[in-house]
Amino acid sequence: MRTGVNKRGSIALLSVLAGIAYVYLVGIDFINHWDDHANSFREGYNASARGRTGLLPQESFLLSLNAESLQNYYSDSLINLKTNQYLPAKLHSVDVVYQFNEYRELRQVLKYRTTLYIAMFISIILLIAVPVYFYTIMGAFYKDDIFNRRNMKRLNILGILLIAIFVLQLVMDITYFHYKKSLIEITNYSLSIHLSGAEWLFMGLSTLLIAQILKRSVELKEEQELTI
Amino acid sequence: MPIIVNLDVEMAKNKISLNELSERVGITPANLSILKTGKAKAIRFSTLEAICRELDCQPGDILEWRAEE
Repeated sequence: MRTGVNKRGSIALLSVLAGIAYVYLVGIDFINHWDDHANSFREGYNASARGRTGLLPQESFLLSLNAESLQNYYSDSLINLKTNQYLPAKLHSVDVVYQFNEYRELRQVLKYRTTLYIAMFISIILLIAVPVYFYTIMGAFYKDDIFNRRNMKRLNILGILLIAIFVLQLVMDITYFHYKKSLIEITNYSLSIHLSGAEWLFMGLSTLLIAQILKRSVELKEEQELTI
Repeated sequence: MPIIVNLDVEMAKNKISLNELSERVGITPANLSILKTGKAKAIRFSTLEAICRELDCQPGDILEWRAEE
């Protein structure tokens, strides 16, 4: 039979592992595309320097591409240095730098940029709130304070926060797609929307499901307590 | 709830206080109070048996079903 100390140890260990997994989930994009992020800082610095000198800014975009027709699917080519042959290629995504030429363009994309900044700001707040709620719940579980309506409410809020992150991610993906589409059109490819963040939706719905199970457990516990 | 607990009636008939009955039945006065006020969700056969024994009555004297209005 497992002792209370063992159970607490398991909760503590799983909480720490969940924390590491959360940092991994949030930071994986930075790890995978560290050069993009480093470049963004460099470009941000350059843009502010250009702004000071009165020049219009440049902005880099990550374009997700779909072939315009299947007949011309491999519309690009790369050189194979081993054989010196051209390899037909289809690009899936590519980073491009866009140079704004007029202030009018900047004004036109202002709505997209504003939406992106607001969504990003709210996302950051939610990304901070998620571990706070998670560790509040885990702290209560650690103290053996599990089956109560307070925890059920916290789990519900956590689920809603996770779903909200997914919705914001969706808003950012759609906005970013329209932002790019308003500025860029290229040959042989059409821009495609790059949807991400389904893991947040899954986690959110799973958390809401657990909250419902906890609700039933609380009801059973209350019933048990009122059995004389 | 359509099940009415008439414990207070039987207690009055037997002239027994809540504390005394709880002591004899072996449950806490708080739990007996929950039962008496009709807040209980369920009652164990063992509790019912002990109450009937101490109050010298039948389960039907304590519990009554009434149709919901």
